Amino acid sequence: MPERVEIKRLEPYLWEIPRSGGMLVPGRVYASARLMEEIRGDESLQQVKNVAQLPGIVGWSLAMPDIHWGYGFPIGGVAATEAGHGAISPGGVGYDINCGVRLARTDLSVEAVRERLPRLMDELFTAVPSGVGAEGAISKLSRAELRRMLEHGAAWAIERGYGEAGDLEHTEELGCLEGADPSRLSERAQERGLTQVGTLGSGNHFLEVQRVAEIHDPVLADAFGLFEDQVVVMIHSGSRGLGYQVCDDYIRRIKPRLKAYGYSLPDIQLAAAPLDSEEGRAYLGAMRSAANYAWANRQVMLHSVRETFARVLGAGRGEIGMRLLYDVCHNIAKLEEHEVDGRRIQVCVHRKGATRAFPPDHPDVPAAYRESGQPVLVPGSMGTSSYVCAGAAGAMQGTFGSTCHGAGRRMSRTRSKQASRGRDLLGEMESQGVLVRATGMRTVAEEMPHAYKDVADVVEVMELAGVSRRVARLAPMGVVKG
Amino acid sequence: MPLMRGGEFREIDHAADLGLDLRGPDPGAILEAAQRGLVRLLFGESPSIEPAEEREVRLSEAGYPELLKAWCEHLYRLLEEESFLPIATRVEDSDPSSFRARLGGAVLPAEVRTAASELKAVTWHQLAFAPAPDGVWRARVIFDV
Repeated sequence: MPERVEIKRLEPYLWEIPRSGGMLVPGRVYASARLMEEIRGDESLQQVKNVAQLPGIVGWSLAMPDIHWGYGFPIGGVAATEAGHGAISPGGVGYDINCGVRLARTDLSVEAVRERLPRLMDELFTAVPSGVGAEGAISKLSRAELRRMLEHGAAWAIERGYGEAGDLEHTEELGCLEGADPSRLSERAQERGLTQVGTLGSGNHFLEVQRVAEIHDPVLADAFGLFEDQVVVMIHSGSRGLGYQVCDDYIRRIKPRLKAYGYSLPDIQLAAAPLDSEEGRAYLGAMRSAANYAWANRQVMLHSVRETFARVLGAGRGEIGMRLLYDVCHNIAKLEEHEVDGRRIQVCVHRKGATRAFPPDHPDVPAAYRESGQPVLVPGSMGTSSYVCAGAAGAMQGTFGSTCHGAGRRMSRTRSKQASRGRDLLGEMESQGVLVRATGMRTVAEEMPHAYKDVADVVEVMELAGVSRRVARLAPMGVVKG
Repeated sequence: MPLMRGGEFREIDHAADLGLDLRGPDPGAILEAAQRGLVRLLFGESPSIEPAEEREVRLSEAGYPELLKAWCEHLYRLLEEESFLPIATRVEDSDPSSFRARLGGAVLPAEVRTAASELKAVTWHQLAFAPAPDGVWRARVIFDV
């Protein structure tokens, strides 16, 4: 059993871990009483305390209601450090830099797709390679092409025909973080990136054909182009081996320098460097490059999806009307301006399994969504609902403009596999109307709905806390799993 | 095929990720058990394939924990990039900063390789590899998946 962490309830959906030991700020956790009971079952609250020791951290060490035990940072953690002398932690971003979600809406109703869904899922499974070592969605890149991709992100893909110009406006940061510096990537990181563009990966990554099952906010749904029984496509993936390698390279590089920075951290996985140090600047340049790789990766996958829909449905792209609703990253560190203790300052916001959720009128929200707030995409567990939400004012006051990113695990992979033993998992999903195409049954067993919290509870907490609001609930029709 | 020594592994019940607790009479046994444990995590039961080739591996790092991390990374890299499944290991020589091993294995068909669990990384979180007071060597490694 994990050590019991002292925590007190401040508000119905907000809890605080008081400062103690080496904590520089208090911890704060968004959760209902029921979710808090589940959260207490693993070591994630201790990890919230550990993150509170990050040099230069301001405000609070935050956790969203989908928090669960990670490595170093908890998954579902948010930490802002003061720009300049504050720290940046590669582990606070995670190995899968810019792991994120994109959602494309269509003009299609469920009926228009239902009959051809089995073939559609078969062909999506082929068009978007998945699993260990998957490659070949597009030709192997030259080093020069990789460099251009790392500098330009999703725009690189669109310039080469993998997308539409309008896609960029509906991507966080327009699909490219400025300040990317590909020269900061190791040879090994670059090598891993040459063949994996347009591939899904494995684990909790997926591609789903979904239907809009329920509209929670008709006005915002209309602004997002959503209607009931509409077919939409959700893609969850990240920066693949290139991003994993960047994180590992920089933890390895920063680890021996901790003493020189005067840092004492409770977990080596939290290894961090001052933002204004050589290592901090180098990591930022490399991390931004990897983030751009992830945006290009999801852009190429969306292109493959569009081509597949057109081929299988025998319809022109105009008829299908597949347009990107939005693309969010949920593993990232970004320099943003926030108000802290009455001062407006620049901070480095680490979102490790947390989604940006800027409210209406925020200048960084695309013009199309300026009145509604930034779309927030919250995937549920395989075979259950996902949510489209929108950023709300409370995010800027309490969470450095952040909200939840998913359902959050409540059962380990090992226990989930045990609970799945002897069951016809694909048959169970199909009986619920969900077609699954997967490279291996192990991942399916690890990702079954029983392993996750109810995503409905998670998004409800963030709505009741005033951080983000529900717009629509999406239900899966078909799933591609690595 | 290399002979195996008496190291043991146990899957860690970690919420989001995968991990191994390892124990054995000496560092070599730990590294051998790590290879077997890693294949179990990746595939469940190891694919029923006989070793078809043997490779020599030499690794050097700053210390035992780093060696364990590098070893797991090396094994996974063989699978991801060469479809090479490590089936059995014999550590022939080890000290706190290096070891030499013979690795028996076989190249997998792509459809078997892609069905494995993907590892994003061998993490530093709770990474440990040292002798306990009772003389038994113990180690822990957590993988991001």
